Amino acid sequence: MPRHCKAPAAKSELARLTAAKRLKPERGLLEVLDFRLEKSITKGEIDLQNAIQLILNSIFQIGVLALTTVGMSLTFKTVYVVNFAQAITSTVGAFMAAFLLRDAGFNAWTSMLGGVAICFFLGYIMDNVIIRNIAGGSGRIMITIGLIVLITAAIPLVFGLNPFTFPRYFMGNLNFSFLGMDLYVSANALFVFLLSAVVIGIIFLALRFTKWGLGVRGTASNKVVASMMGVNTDLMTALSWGISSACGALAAVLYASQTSLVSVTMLATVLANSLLAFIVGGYNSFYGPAIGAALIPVLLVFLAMIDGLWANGMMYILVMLFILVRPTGLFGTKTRKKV
Amino acid sequence: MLKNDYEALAKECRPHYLKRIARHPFFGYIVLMILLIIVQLLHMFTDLISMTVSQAINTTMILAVAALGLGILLMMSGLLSLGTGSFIGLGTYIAGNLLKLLDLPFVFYLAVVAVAGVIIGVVVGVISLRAKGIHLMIVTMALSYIMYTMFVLPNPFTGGPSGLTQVPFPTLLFLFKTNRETMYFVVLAVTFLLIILTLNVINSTIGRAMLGMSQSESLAQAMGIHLLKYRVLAFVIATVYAMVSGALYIASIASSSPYTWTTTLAMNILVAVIIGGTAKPVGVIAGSFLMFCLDLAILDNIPFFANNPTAAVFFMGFLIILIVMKYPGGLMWMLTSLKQKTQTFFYMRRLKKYGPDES
Repeated sequence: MPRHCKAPAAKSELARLTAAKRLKPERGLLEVLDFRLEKSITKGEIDLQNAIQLILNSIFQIGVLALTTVGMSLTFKTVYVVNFAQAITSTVGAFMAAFLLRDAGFNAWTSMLGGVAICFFLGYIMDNVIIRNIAGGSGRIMITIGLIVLITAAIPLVFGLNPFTFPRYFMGNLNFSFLGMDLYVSANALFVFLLSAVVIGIIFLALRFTKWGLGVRGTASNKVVASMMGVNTDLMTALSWGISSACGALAAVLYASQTSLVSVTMLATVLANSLLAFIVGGYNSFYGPAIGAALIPVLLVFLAMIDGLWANGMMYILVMLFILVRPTGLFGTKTRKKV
Repeated sequence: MLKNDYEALAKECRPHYLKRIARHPFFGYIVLMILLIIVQLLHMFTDLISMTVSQAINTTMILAVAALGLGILLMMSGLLSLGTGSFIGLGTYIAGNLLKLLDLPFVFYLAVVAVAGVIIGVVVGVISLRAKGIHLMIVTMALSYIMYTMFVLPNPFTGGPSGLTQVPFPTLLFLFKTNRETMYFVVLAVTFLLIILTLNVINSTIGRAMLGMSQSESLAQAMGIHLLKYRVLAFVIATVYAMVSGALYIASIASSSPYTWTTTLAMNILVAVIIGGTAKPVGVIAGSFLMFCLDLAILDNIPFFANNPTAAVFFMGFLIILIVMKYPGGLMWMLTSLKQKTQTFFYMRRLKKYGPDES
């Protein structure tokens, strides 16, 4: 009986208390933060699912950037040149692949191989004919800038002014759920990411375990001593240029397959970001630049969530500060110089 | 010998006064300026020189000012910077906004822009002390991208993607209202003054200290050269030159689009300096004429290049690669080596014909 009487009283007590609370909100800081977070998640401001989805959308950029950066680090290690022409030689590969696909009756896969092969020979010839015959210093950087001018003009002369397109290798999206979040990723983007990861893995394994890798590492550490030990350093540098151009061409073809766009300036932002990734990762390690390349698009996604217009500017400021604080990069080692 | 004999001997050995004038360090530049003035006069009063040629020379001289600054930075102090393009852009925006606000003599705008250049140059110079070589290149490239983002985003200072347009032409000394054709002479005058300044910087102790710094920093430090001071000074000079070039650009072209001020422009200026081969104004101006003026002023008059404009650019790239490959020392080195080659050629021919000299 008393129990029966008490229950409504307790209920009313609770109602009264909550009413009082509603009138006079007394919440601690943590509660406020929790409340804000809850509100913003429901509104979609700081959404974990959104962030992961955006990273998945930019997954192909990670692959393309990593391929370009690895190619650039190969040439830098062996010839000590920052190859500004990396992007434009890669674009030649994309144009070649699109040309083979449209006019020569190749399918998408063989035209990709054709573009990569052409670029390999282009890089090989470039080192044999031009780069090797220059004394070094700033002249080599100038040559790469001259090559930009030359190839940018040569592409319309060779391939004509009709625009090229490139198809996707895989159509459709893959839907999956992760920690209760429904996510999707474009099948082609996943393919781009996986293929570039496999190619980079093969290059790193080859650097570690094959005779070519030993030669390249020897050339990178000291060219004169390596040539005295019987390493054909000229062949090594030419092969590195070839492989770096081939990597770039693969990146360009994959980029074209994702964006279905083949133009002269298609890799301009990729080149700028890969230069930054190259420094952030540490330019005197082989593996650092690839990790730097993976970091930059992710950073860009998070900055774009803060402010879409200023994302690029903020990234450049952050990278500049990082370089000034730690010039050797994430994985670089300090080199000492004697007078 | 008596004192009078010495004087007589000195008088006898003294070269002809025309020779003395020709040997003066400014002589070549004065001749160049007179030639360029004649070109502009021909354009203004006859139809011999077209509008495009005159404008190409104008733009080349403006960019040559920035290239002179970069020449001191790169060739004297050995610091590689890719920020030149965006500094020119900043100069155009500062001078353009002031031109829209006030109507004062042109020297005022140049002074304001130069002061801004000093401030920015000090900041960049202090930053640069931590970075070297490729790092410095990437840091300045990042700086250039930051400024490019600032130019492109819509704001009242830069005018957003459409840029500054319809900037009024400045007046000279409260009197002469200039127009596009008379601004050409102002550009030439400022360029000439800066050429003389550059020559003096190169030959002074500042230039020697910078040269020492570029050879070996540790050695220069041991010799008592204050690295921070000279690095900052080099950056200040380069930035001021670039900003002044921007002010000249906005005053003579009257519009400024943010898409011009990219790293591509900075790279082109860099190529002009390297092709010139020296920090001396001869090389820098020859390089900038080859880079910015050749295709517009000369190649477009040849029918083949006029019909397909990409061929002209292709030819330019080919020329750059050929010069850097064959003559890494630049255009000036090319001239001296060609001179030596022709001299030996004629000497050998004389040797074959008449036999060795008897004396």
